[in-house]
Amino acid sequence: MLSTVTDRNNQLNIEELVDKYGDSILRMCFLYLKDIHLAEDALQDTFIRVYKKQKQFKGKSSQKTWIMRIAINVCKNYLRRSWWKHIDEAAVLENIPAYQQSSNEDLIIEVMKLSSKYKEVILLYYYQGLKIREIAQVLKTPESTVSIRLKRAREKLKIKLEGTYNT
Amino acid sequence: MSKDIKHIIDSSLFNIKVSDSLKKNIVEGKGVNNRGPMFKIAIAVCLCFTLLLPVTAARIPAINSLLAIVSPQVAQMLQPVQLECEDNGIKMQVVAAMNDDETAVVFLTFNDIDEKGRVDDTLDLYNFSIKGAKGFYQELVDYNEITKTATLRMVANGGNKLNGKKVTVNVDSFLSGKESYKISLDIDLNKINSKAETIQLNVESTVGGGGRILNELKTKGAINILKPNKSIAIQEIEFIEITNVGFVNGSLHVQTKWQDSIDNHGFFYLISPNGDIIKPSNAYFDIDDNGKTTFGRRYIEYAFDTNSIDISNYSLKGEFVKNNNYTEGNWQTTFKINSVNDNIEVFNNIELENLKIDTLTISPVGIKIIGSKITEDDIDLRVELIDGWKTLFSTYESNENDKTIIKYLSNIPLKPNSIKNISINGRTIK
Repeated sequence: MLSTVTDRNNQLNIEELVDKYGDSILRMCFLYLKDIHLAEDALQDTFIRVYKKQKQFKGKSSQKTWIMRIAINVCKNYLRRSWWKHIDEAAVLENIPAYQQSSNEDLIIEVMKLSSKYKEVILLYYYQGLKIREIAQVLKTPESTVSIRLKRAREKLKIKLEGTYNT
Repeated sequence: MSKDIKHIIDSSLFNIKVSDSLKKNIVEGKGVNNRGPMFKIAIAVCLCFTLLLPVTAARIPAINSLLAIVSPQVAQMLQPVQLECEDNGIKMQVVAAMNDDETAVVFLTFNDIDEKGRVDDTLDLYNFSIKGAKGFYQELVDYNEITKTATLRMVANGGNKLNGKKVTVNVDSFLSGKESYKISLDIDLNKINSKAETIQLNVESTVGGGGRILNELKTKGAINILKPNKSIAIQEIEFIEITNVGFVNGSLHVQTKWQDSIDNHGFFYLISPNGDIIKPSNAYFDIDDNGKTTFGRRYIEYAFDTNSIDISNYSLKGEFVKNNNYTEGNWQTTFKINSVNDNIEVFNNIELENLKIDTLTISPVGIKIIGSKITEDDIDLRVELIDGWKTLFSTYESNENDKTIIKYLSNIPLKPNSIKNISINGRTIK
């Protein structure tokens, strides 16, 4: 049981981390993988890796940055090994239990349609609230590259949404 | 924007949250239950897995038929597969395929063995995939009227070391019986009401659209649109009804109501005798029982910028595609082919201005470029064959181990000795 290894041993309390980051990581994985079941598996894998790798966490980055890096890597691995279907992003949304259509659906769909490299910077920057420097740590990519990708991702969203949102 | 996006994602996906059971699994350290799409497919598909049987092309009628369709260059590269499966009275056969490490090109045929006319010359795969690849497209390359056989080419990119791996082609549904219409609408634009009755469309009620009318809606928060108080049928197009036509603020508006369908689509335009075409902007919305706009996509308001033209010189036309058949089933075959690796040429460490390419690989399927910090936008790749310039198409970009991989596909096999010149950003590579 992961959570029984408590703070007494100076180890991570997984339950607390799930409460703190679980929902946002799950939503990020869903937008990344476009499949709710895969996203749940990815979340589970993420926390198992967090638990297993906690000794490798040296505190060089924030705990959040470190966990996001693991989550993103899990998603990338899933994409590599998984099926990729001719996905209708709108249908993906409609398949979420009790999903409510909203006027923001276009943005969600366009984010889902972005290629991985653009989607991950958008999600880490705007959704997870990481700084460029932290995203560079997550992606092991130079800060300049992150900035360029962020700029291009913004441009792509802007083009796709044709002024729908103030990008 | 940051607050917008975070708020939008959290509010739109508020139902996606860690359930108690998921949290329990995580806390108890349970591993995932191996529930990937592969698993789902494995329990859903028809039981038509077959192993590849090496065959000789000349002995197989289907291969011979295919060779008559494709170019001789393509034919040389194809490996016979000849596997078939059947579901819902439809037979799918994977006739032949070719691939390199990350791209697979598969030729497959469809026949309606129940003779219900569901396979025709408009066949269009709707839900399909190739296992292990990430992006693909398909096109109909031939329809044989006598045998009622449709032949399709499916191309999949983004695979990983496909050489020698099993390749699984899966089709869940397809469209057919498509009919295309180009119709002059029987509406005299000179007699259109210059002050049509309007209602208000609020920004909250639109799911999207494009162009001026949508931008105006987003900027102002609400615009006037036509009141849906007419019912004008379009000849032969029963899935659309024109619910009003009129001028709003000097612009010609055409309002339509669409029936739910799979892939019925179309568009309207104004055309002059000289062939000048004016395309409209549009906004999607719905109308509730009280006649007020509400969120949805059943209605489309088209707005033509007609302020600076003489409308009497134009007529209203529409082009529509009606899909008559939507056929579902589980068609899947698994096979193994070896890459076309004997015709590969590699160039390493190409230094360009502001750009460094680690490798450029030419395979019969296409050209692959690997490098750090490169994007498709940075690269202008041109290929000259011995018999002229060749346009490569369907680029596919992916990332692996901090490297970007860009693949340019060719619709005819590229052999190193048939390429006269390759240049990137004006610099000759070969």
